[in-house]
Amino acid sequence: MAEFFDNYGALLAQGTIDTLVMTIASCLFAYIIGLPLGIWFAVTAPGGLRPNRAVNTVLGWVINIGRSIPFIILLVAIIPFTRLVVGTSLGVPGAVVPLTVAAAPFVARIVEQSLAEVDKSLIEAAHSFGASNVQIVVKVMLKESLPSLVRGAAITFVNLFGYSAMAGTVGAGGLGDIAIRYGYQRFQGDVMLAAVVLCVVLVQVFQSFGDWIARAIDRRQ
Amino acid sequence: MIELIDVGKVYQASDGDHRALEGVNLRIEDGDIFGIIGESGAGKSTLVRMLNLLERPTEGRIIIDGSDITDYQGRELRELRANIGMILQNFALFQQRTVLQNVTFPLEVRRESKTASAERAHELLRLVNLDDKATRYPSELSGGQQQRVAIARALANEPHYMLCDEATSALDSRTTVQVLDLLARINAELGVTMVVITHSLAVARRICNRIAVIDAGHIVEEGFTADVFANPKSEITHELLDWGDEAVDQPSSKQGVNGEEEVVRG
Ligand SMILES: Nc1ncnc2c1ncn2[C@@H]1O[C@H](COP(=O)(O)OP(=O)(O)OP(=O)(O)O)[C@@H](O)[C@H]1O
Ligand SMILES: [Mg+2]
Repeated sequence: MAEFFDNYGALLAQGTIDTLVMTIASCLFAYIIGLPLGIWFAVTAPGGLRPNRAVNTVLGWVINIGRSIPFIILLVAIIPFTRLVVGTSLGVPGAVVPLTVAAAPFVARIVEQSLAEVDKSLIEAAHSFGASNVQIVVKVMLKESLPSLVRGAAITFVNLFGYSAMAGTVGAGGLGDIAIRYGYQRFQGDVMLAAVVLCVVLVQVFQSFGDWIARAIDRRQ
Repeated sequence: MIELIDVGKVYQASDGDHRALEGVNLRIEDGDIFGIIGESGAGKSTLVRMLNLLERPTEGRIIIDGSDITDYQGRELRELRANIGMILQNFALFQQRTVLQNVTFPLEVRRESKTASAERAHELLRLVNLDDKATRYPSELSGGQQQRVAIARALANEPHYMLCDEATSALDSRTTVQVLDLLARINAELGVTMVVITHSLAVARRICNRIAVIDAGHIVEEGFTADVFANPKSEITHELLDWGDEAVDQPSSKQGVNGEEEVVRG
């Protein structure tokens, strides 16, 4: 056991760090793109704050097409774009771009769904006090759906964590990459197992943490 | 003063047009507690929601304090709304905000200072006898308490008008009495003109000085409460009279005004 850690401890630690960096960075960028998109989608929906059928339809298409492309294909297909953005299609930066592109439409959709759950009468009440649309989005829609948004963020994070393993195929490193290289290519089952166990534990921790925050801030019935 | 001139409303529903109101002429004087009475689906909410343009009339004009507000948009509309407090049919309290934050919401919207807003909110919570619940969340309150929070919130901007949509239907009759008396007190002490929607003539009798009875989108009767009760003209008013709610229908004002502690002595 001690010998195993002497040999592979540093490798697994580096893998964990790479995975976390990829997941956190792509989650962050996915929200920077997906959150405004999701808000825009919700606001332009029929019965929304500023219904706009044309904009809403186009957004719906973009979001659905984005979500329906298998990640492994997206990963390869956007390599030129990835090079353009970060200068390389390899390593952690090379993985963050496709992960972000894959997750942003997903984020837009779950944000839209969280916002759609907000009781219409609350929006009406805000109107009745003379709130502007921007104020209603920030002070009512986002605020009232915060627990649901946090749950969505936890799901996004865990999904990206899983996807980041596939990004290993572009040499991004990370736990998934370690599991594949050592498990399949070198038949070192113990290293693969250690990497997988680490993945399982980390996912559990993040999901529980997300659930805990969501519960703690939920003041609804 | 609020004036409605030949106001009508046609909703565009999925199955075609649906007329909710037709030819409504009303005048609500300053200081009134004006009751709007009618059966479910009669058009009461539609009528009241047009007074702050939550719903736009498809015909007619609405005049408030001498200005035709029918086509107000943007800032002008928001300014108008800030002067009209509203209590929605289901209270519509913000679940993720404390009682205090609910009451300060209208002030936050107008970018009032935090300390001044909090001070004003505490004042209003004292008025509705809920200051001890300031840090609670709406989900931790009873229906009657939630309603009083909604009343305090509606008063935050010191509005000249207050619209109460079916303010009492979800409450038991004793709580209803307390809420009605609170509204009457706000009208008397703060001079807020009120428009109160209700199913019940008993509720109207308790606090309204004028009432309009609405049936299938038409005003069928309008006048001083006492006159309407003494001499009901329309069939629907007769029907509504037959369903009097006894607990609410005691013309006393000595009962608990603003707290559950005060027991109704009969
Ligand atoms: N958004 C809408 N679209 C289409 N029809 C509507 C809409 N809102 C209300 N209506 C219709 O207009 C009529 C009047 O509705 P309104 O809500 O004003 O009734 P109400 O008198 O307030 O009833 P209640 O006592 O049940 O609250 C009803 O027939 C209703 O179905
Ligand atoms: Mg109604």
